Amino acid sequence: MRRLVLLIAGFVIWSAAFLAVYAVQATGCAIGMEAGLLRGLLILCVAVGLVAGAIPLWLARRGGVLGQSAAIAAAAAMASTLLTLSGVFWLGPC
Amino acid sequence: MTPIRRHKELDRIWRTAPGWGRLAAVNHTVIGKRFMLTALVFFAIGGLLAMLIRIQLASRQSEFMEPGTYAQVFTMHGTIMMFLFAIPFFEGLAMYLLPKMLGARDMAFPRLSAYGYWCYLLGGSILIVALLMGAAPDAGWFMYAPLSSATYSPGINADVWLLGITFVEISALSAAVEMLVSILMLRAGGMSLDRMPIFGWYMLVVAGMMLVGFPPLILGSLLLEAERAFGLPFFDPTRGGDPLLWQHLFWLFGHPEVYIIFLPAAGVLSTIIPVFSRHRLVGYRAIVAAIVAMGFLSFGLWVHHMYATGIPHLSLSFFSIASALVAVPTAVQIFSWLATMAAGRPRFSIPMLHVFGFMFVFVCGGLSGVMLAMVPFDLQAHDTHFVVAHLHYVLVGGFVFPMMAAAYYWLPHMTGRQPVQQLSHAAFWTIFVGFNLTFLGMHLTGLLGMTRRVHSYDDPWWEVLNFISSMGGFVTTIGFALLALDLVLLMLFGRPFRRDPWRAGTLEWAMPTPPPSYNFASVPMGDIDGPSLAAGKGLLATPRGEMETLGVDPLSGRPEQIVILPKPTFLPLLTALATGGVFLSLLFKAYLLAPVFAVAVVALFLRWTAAMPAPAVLDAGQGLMLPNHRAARMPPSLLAMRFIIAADATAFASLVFGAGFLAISAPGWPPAEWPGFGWPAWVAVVGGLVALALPGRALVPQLVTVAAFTAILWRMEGVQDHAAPAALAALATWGAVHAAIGVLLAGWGDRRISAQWQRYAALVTVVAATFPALLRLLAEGAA
Repeated sequence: MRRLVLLIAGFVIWSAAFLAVYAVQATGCAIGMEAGLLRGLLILCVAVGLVAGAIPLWLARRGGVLGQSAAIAAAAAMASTLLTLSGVFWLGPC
Repeated sequence: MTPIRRHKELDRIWRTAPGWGRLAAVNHTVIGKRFMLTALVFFAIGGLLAMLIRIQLASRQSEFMEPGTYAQVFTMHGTIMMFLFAIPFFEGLAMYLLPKMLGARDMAFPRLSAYGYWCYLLGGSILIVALLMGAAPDAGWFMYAPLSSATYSPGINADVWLLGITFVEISALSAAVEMLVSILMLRAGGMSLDRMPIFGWYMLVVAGMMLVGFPPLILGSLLLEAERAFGLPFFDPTRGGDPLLWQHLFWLFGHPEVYIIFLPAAGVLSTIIPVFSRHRLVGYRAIVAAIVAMGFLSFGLWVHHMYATGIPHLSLSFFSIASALVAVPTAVQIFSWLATMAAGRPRFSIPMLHVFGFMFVFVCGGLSGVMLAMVPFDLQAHDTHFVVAHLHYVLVGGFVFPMMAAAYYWLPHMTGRQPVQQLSHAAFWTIFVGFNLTFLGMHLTGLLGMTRRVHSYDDPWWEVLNFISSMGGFVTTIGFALLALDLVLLMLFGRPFRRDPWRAGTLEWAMPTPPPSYNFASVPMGDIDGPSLAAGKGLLATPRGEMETLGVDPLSGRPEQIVILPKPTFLPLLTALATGGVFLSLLFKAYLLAPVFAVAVVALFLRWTAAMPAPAVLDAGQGLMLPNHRAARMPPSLLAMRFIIAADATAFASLVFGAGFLAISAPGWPPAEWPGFGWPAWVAVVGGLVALALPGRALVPQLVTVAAFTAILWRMEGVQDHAAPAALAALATWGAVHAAIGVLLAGWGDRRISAQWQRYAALVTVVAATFPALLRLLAEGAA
């Protein structure tokens, strides 16, 4: 089952990063968090998502057809994390 | 044993009895066909409603229907097509095909398939009867609050939707669990996951999406019904609720739903195109990755239906980029299909004509989807007929055309006859031309400003475009009538054939057609052809009087167990009838009857577990001795329980999200008086922790937990006054119900299955009992 888990691991991490950023942003704005601090927290979430996303990519580098699919999926997930959450670098947080 | 004798023996064991015995059917071939046939009946009803809409809009100031009736008609059109046609149809196709493609004799839980079918039929029938009685839902197929609240939608119309659709969704969730376990565990010996037919991969991802996609909507429906029936104000902004919570919960389901519908169709295309191109599928590995990517990305788009609700720009950027990004894995598949055709020597027979229809229509719909993903454009086109045109291009292109291809491709498998009529071409072109005539101009109608769901209009330009759309609609209907006639003629007068008329190579064509009740005379092991299977050269070739199929290791396909399936029984029908009793009691406000039916449901489900085989090791043939599933390390039911827990946890997470969302976003928070759980919360936490530590002896701690949550609910005040106590009451109810299920499983369930539930229910208890403190912190911080 490990290889099956590896296949979805990249996008599970993407989902976690996505939800974390959305939740932190919504909560931060609602409680009136200072803009610089909030942006820093959001960037931290994205960075953690990217670092964590590299793990399945590293683990999937060897191992058959499923391993190759897992590597493609993990790379796509990392790219998705960077693209979908890129707004934290250049848009106002609230 | 001769092949004829083996056939007779196996058929005696597996067949469905005639007459009343048909109501006890659990066989996947029978249930799959019933699902598809019933879905087609609903499709015809939905199509008829579409015609009524088109008549109404064909001319200015039309008085064909009064606005109230029109609202019921468009609501039911959308509801039927999404919930009663598209999803059940592919569920039926998957139930029919998956075991045959994967080399199994049936699905993992045949009674669950039958139960799901009856729930679907009964739930769908409630909606249709309501339509005939003039009491159909009328607040649009996505039932936005506050329009769907008791204030603005009095009467039972909205209740019919909320309860009827929730009833139907039981079938979707049961199908999801069924498909996941079947694909992972019931395959041919030696069929590793990376050698699995691509359709299996698509359905694996779709089933996973259904498992986490449907619970938010079920939860939302229950909350809205609780607001309508008992006044708990989850969506009422005057009492601490927020209508946007409904939109979040609905679209958390609603957007993945589009991909849940598209992916099975893409699976059909990935199966058919290589056969007719006479070339293997190009890019199998990239396609597997693309399916996984689509499955996840489709959940990150839900807010793109809510761009106009005043969400901060930063949040919009997440959803806008994700919406555009999902086009990438879609394109990977489309280019892979084109590459397969380019590399092979395509035969342009009827299924391929429909593949062409898909390519043209779906790509147009996909491109307008990318346009709508862009926030500035969406704000212009939001809620106009442009969106209506887009969604029809996506859904008809991405589902109906591939399913028509599937019908021509697999109907010979179901009937043993091949198409001969030239009507097929006429039907295709009539549908194709009619469809584009209906919806191409509708983009312009929308851009000119015509909003969806309007009953009448004045603009003469809108009239020209609407008249063209209406004519196109009728041409499309004629096309579907021709298609239906062609398929009936195929079934009656089609050319008989021997095996595998398309020279396909997948396992479903290795059996006689129409398929026998048991699928395979012997279960495939390694590379083996149809005649060898009939000659008993596979596994489980010697009938023992039980319905046996092979259970394998999910990854490698190594044979691990013999799964003994239940015989035909009326229990699924009776359980579905009792479940229907619960929903009808709630619908007609007979609240005292609902618990009676609920007890009946529980009692009937417990009956399901009455006749279990004793653990044993059996001869699987070819010198292989295997345990039956009762003696196996990982029986299918244990895996199923994990998936059920995953679905339940999604609903619970949605509830927690909902409460948190209200605390930081809804007006009127924090409430004047904070409701607390008090000392019973600590009792519940202790009960939960003990159950977590001792899942094998959880009866007493779960009883204590039920009592504690009951005490919390008993002491709770003001649930109708503010969303805060209402949300906490919902959490406490959730905890109580889960602990009660724990009590039942501890008393009557399988030990291993029970232990999994006890651990999960204990975690639910701890979160539910401690969440009020966090909620208060959030609300006071936001204030």
